[in-house]
Amino acid sequence: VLEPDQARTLVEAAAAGERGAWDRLVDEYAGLVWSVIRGCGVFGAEGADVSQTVWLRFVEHVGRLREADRAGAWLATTARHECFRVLRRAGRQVVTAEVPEVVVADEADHVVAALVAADDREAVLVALDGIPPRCRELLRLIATEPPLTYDDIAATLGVPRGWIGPTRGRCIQHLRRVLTERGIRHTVADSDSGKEAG
Amino acid sequence: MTDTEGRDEELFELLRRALLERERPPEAVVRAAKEAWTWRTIDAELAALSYDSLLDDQARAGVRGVAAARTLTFEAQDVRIEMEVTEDGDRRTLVGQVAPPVAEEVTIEWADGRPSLAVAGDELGRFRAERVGTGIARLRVGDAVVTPWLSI
Repeated sequence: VLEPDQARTLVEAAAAGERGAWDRLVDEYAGLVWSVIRGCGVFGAEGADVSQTVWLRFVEHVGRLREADRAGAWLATTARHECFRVLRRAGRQVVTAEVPEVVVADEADHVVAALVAADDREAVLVALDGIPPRCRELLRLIATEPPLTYDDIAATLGVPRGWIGPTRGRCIQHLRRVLTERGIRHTVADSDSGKEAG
Repeated sequence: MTDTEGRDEELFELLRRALLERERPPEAVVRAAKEAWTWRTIDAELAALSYDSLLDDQARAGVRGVAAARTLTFEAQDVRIEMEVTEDGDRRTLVGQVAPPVAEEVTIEWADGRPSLAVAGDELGRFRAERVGTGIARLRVGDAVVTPWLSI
């Protein structure tokens, strides 16, 4: 995982014209950009277009970043803006709704424990489809590598920093709810049902 | 930490690993991002995108239901570019003005390597490109100014 001062060094080297540093930056941050785009609900060829727009913009900005160690925050914010453009051009909804509280049944503990013990990544990704869109976006932002700080996430989403922790907690409850309602299934049909594939 | 909280964290950790493993960007996307480097410009001033109607809630609220054009404003040190993009299927018409009219032509550059398209401006700096394609593009105004890349 890239440390902030390593990120700064790479940004500065790329700004000075080093192609190798640029390639490293892409290797390090392409996943973060991609995950912000998926979190917005943009997939496939449209997602690839957004990603490319972000990177083209970053080429122009790499020498102009005010804080060279916050490249991740710049990339995430730019990616989200570009997603908005795509969604709005298509007349699709931009997700801003709040995340409601949810009450989870008692057996959730048991279900989650079994899921974790089985290291069932497929099931948890399928369940991700069933939680509020705002949660899908937030949890992806918290899960990125290199990690974004809560300040970065707040700036990216345009929310107060204090919004993140409680909302994250509610989002995990939504995930527990979906997993519990569905139970844990390992069928092939289930693994193929993730809409977000590709 | 209670058991439930501990399990919540285990669940999040499982999700995090699943996302990192299963939602990697496609290789073509990573390759294209690396190739973006070849567009590095050090010779021209980058105009700032100061207005985009797609990001303006009020503009959108006013025109609901109407196939409105997207309006954009770019600002550089000594020049301002206003542009309207109208969609017609997979064709775009770009109409704009460079003020003051500092350049004789505006060039549309495509990020995917399609040939650039030079459009002559009139004496007021107005330009018009009819029914060009879609894609990631930017404008170059004379030699001195480029706009940020936009998906049009």
